Amino acid sequence: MLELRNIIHRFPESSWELNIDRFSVSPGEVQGIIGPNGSGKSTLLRISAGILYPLAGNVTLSGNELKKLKRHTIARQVGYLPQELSSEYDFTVEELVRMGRYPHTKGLGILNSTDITVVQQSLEFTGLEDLKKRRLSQLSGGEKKRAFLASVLSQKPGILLLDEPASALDLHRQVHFFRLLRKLAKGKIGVAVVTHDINFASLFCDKLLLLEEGLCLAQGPPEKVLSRGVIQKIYGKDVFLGKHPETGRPTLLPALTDKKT
Amino acid sequence: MKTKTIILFGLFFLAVAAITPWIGSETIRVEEVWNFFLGTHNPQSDIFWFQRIPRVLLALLAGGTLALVGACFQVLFRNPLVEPYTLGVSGGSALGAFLAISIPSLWHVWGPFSSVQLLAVAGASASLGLIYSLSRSQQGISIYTLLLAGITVSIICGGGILLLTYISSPNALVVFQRWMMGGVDIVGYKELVALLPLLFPGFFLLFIHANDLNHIALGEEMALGHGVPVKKVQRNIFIGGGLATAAVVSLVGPIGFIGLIIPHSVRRLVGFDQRTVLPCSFLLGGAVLTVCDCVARTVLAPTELPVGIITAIIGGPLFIYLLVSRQWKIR
Repeated sequence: MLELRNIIHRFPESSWELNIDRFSVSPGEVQGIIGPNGSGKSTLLRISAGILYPLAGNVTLSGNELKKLKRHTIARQVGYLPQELSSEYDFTVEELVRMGRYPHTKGLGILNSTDITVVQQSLEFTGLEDLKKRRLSQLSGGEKKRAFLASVLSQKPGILLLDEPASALDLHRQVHFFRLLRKLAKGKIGVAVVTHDINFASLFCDKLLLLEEGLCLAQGPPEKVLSRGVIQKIYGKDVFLGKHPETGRPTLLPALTDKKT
Repeated sequence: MKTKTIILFGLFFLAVAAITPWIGSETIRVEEVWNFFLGTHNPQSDIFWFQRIPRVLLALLAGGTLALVGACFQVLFRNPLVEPYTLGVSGGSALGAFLAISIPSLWHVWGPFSSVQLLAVAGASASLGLIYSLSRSQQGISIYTLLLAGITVSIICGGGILLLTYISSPNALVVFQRWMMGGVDIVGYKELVALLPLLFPGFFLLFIHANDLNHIALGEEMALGHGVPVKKVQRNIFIGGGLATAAVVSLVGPIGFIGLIIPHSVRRLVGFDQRTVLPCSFLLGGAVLTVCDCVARTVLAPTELPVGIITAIIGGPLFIYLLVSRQWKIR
């Protein structure tokens, strides 16, 4: 389990600070981090991944302080998919996915048969088997995201932290991507996903954390977090709060006029 | 990692090493080279063993080093246009070396080492440090800022060198002008041996991070996420690259563009896995500089040109081509 307590972080150029009392990712659940742009979502995720060290507070991974762990050790347990995915070189999908085995190898990173099996599984899980010989430049946006996800999955992490993994994808590809996350949670992986799409978060996440200007406005199951009051506070009278026809989860729709909420 | 490819490049390297010593303005016969071991000295075997062989060995090492360091820096800065020369590292080393050559009170010799190497390392570190601190500011750095910074460092170092040229004795001038053109003509093995204590630690630091560099090509955050100790890798590459460049530049002068063309060609030939790219860059860089040097010493025979002239004539236009051709990035 990944646990953050009393986190405070501040950027010199920003007028607010990130202040989170408690945030944790446990196996088997999908957790959504939502909020307006620039509310500190990515910062929170970076701190969770140990990419960024907070000014104050504790981040622990199964009881051990994250700061004191080696990168190798962290990477075996935590997978992190940044928002900006780019590569200086045009690797093949297979090469990229094989790189995910880094924390399980030493020196020059020669893979053994176990590693190759894991790579194969990651490719199958993300549906990239047929594309494994393709180069990154030959992939669509969604395929590229999946290729990087497969690379992270090859680390065999118990906890997966994803920053806007489905942004800039077509609607149906977004749906597929979030379904993959649910499938991962079924396999006892703890997932935390940053997204600006509240409807996806509401539908696919077990718990939500709503951030605004670095503060946690609400935390808990979607029905509780996405209450009328909260929605009105953030979006004013520009949206309707409806229910998802399949699940009854809260769903937001744009309003034509600002008469009702 | 493609072991067979590396072996293939290795064979080419060895072939160049075996053939080029026989080529030159003076024709050398095999018997005379062998006679050297039987104790009969003659001018031809002396040319072979004390001029051609050291020269070829130095060209192999120098070309290899510049290409290797270029390949590493290109990943580290995520930029296909950087190499020791364009980053100003060569300029820094050159200024350091020239300080040692031209100012008598700075000239010291300790065994195989001299203050030339020491000050070349200092100069390389200074310019690398500047570039590094620039490239660390805020969210990364643009290709152009980096290149401009490199050019600026080169110009400043060039200014320093001109100043020293102006005030130094004619004796030092001759030595230095020759050295500025970049050349691998040495006599004997003493200088070659003196390179190794700087080169080997440099190579070690670069080669142990071959796999880590693959991850750094994916960006710092992705590399950290994969478990790569990014800071440590960056530091080691800087130190290793700086040491190796300074060692080579202090002896052969600033030879440009090998560090740019070679890694670029290697990536086209063998793909992008740095575990293959780094050794192949070393092998091809060494071989190509040796061939260039072979051309340099035969094209206007009996006059021998400095090899730096040849690499600049071939490399300059290629650099412009790379600069204007759209560099793809996988976003």
